[in-house]
Amino acid sequence: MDIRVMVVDDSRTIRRQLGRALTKEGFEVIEAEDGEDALEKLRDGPLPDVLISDVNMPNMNGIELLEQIAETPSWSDLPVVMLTTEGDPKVVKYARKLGAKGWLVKPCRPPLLLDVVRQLCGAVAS
Amino acid sequence: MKLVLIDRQSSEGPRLGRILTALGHHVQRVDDEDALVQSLTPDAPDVVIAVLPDPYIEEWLPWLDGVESHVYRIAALRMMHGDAVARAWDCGMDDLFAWGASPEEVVGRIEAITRIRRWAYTLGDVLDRQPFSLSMLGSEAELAESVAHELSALAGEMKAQPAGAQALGDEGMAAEVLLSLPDQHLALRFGLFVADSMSRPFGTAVFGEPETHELRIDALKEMANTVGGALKRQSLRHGMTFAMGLPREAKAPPAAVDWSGWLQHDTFSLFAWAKVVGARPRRLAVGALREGMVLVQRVLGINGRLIAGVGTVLTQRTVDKLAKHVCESTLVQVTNS
Repeated sequence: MDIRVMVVDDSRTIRRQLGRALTKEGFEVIEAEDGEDALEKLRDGPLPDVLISDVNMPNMNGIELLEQIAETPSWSDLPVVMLTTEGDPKVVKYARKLGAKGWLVKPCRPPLLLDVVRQLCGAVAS
Repeated sequence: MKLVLIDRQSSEGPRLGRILTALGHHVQRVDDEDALVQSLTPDAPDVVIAVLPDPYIEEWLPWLDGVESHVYRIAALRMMHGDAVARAWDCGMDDLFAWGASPEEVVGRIEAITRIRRWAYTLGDVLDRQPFSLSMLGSEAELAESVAHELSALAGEMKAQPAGAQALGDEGMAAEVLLSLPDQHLALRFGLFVADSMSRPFGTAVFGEPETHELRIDALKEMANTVGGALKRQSLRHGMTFAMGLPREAKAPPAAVDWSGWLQHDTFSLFAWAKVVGARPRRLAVGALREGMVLVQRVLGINGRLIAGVGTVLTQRTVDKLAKHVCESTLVQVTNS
């Protein structure tokens, strides 16, 4: 079964670069352009195995998305990794409190991201 | 607001509890040390009201010193006589009132705390921080090296070149990001420019093929965003928390800048600049707020609960949340992003 990763970022460049790196390694990628788009895709299903989200985005930012995920019981087990340029310790702490499993600072080289995704979904590199 | 009432079966404790609960505050009553410690985690209360006298209360209060944020301490004294008042101040109380105080007095004192906290927060920012200057982030050469390092991960290795080494092309694409420092009324604009002649090699370096103009602009915006984030993280080391807006397309670098540098890739070059600009806050009604503005003040709900903090970059969702919890005509201070 394919492992699904949702990439939430308002930058098409990041979605394109991550999408390529993940697809090349056999992951199925779902793209969302902000928190609202991600929520809609989570509601419509299928649920991803891992969600990677930016923080600063229009409409609904990554922290607001994380709040929504934390408040929804059926999504509470979904591992979320934040991938962002944001480095304010208060924001990092709040994200951790909301259940974020990781905080990666952009620019993040694909091998590191792939390692994190594999760890979170328990997949073995093919 | 979360309040803890330390009380051992006095008649005053329940009365205060009723007054505060009616105001919409969450009130927790504790009657021993263990319960007090438990009430401090995971979220510390905003206020602890100790219904004195209790011979043990002075031993309980040091627990509050271990809490990360300051917890306001109010003593409710059975009698407002000299010894009791002196003892309460010696315990480190922030405020006092007497048993039987009218609901208006209790309410007034609790509401005053909300105002004092807002004022102290702003004052703390002003007192603790030096005025921002670009030189805090490094010399001109160090800044260029740092920008080159950040961008290398997105486009392949880039090297900093001395400023002024190349002429800026007439036409090209540019992107910039604005970092606001609300308490100092200033903002830092950081931007990147690629001449038209370099645009396709730029696209190829980022995507493996030239791609569309629109996607190349997106890549340039993401690069500005990445460097903006790095500048924000560097500033945090100096105790300054910039609020970063969303990157946007720009027309061209401004005529006068505070810093600039060329970044050289094998196949293209990028011009980077930074400019410190004034960003005085203005007051706007909640109903007129727009996505991308930066809040310069905390916004609290009617029960004192935090709705949005200083430095919040408004998203559409935050704007909707504020409109829901605060009257649309309420004025708040913002800067534009």
